[in-house]
Amino acid sequence: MDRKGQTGINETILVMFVFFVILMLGMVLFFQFSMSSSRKEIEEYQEFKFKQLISVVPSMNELKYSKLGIDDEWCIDLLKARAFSSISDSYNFGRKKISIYSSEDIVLYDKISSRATSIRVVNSPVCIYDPRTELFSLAELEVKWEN
Amino acid sequence: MGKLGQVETMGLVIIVILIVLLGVFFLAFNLRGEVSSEDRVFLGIKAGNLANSLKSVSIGTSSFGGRVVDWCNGDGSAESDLEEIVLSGFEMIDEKVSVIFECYDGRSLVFGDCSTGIVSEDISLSSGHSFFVRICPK
Repeated sequence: MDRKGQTGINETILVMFVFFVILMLGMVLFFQFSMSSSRKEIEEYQEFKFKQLISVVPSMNELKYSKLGIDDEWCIDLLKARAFSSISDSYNFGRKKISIYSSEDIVLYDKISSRATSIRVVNSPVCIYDPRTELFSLAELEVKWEN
Repeated sequence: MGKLGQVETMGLVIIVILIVLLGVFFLAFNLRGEVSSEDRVFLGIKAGNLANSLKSVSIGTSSFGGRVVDWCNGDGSAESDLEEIVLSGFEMIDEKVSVIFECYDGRSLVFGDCSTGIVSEDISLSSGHSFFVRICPK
């Protein structure tokens, strides 16, 4: 009878031990899964912010066209763009390069390292205003991201 | 008899699991072709950028929007001016694009070969004419 009782207790302890091992494994797997899904969400957000720059950059007050304080045309002022490229170091868009390609190619912002191996690129048409000729034309806005 | 019943039940369970797995794989492959919502937003931004940019482009002493109004008012020569600017805009976009002009009287003009895709806002011009851009996902 004693032996039976001891065997019963040993069985219970073994079952509890196995149960806790499985529980710990499950918790470790769960935390790993939620960490990787959080990391994935952060990457997706950064990617969205990167792509959104083709809309943000032409709307920046430092770059957009205005006449007598009215900005009724959605265009980038070429002279403002040139001025911005000389002070863009004080801005932080991350490890990116933002350029405009038109009759005059302007690098608005460049913080990509020369040794970058993986670079994503998005581009979009934008309107450019040249105050010297007072003409609007199409240009290409390119955003590169070192990720 | 009892054992036979158990074997048959196990067989049924396996068949149900296989059908569910097949259904999951089918769904996974079907959904993979869908454009994600982030891509839709991005293409919408691109379409909007092209539409807003085109509106202001200078053509001689007029603007792109002005030449659209001229075309709608019967000036056939405006079509080649518009086409030139639109085609230069197409070169800046990797996807298939269309620009659709709609006149107040119902006439329309289309450049490009995108039939179903993400559409920009309508750019309203004078006299009730308008145009918009459509981008087809890759």
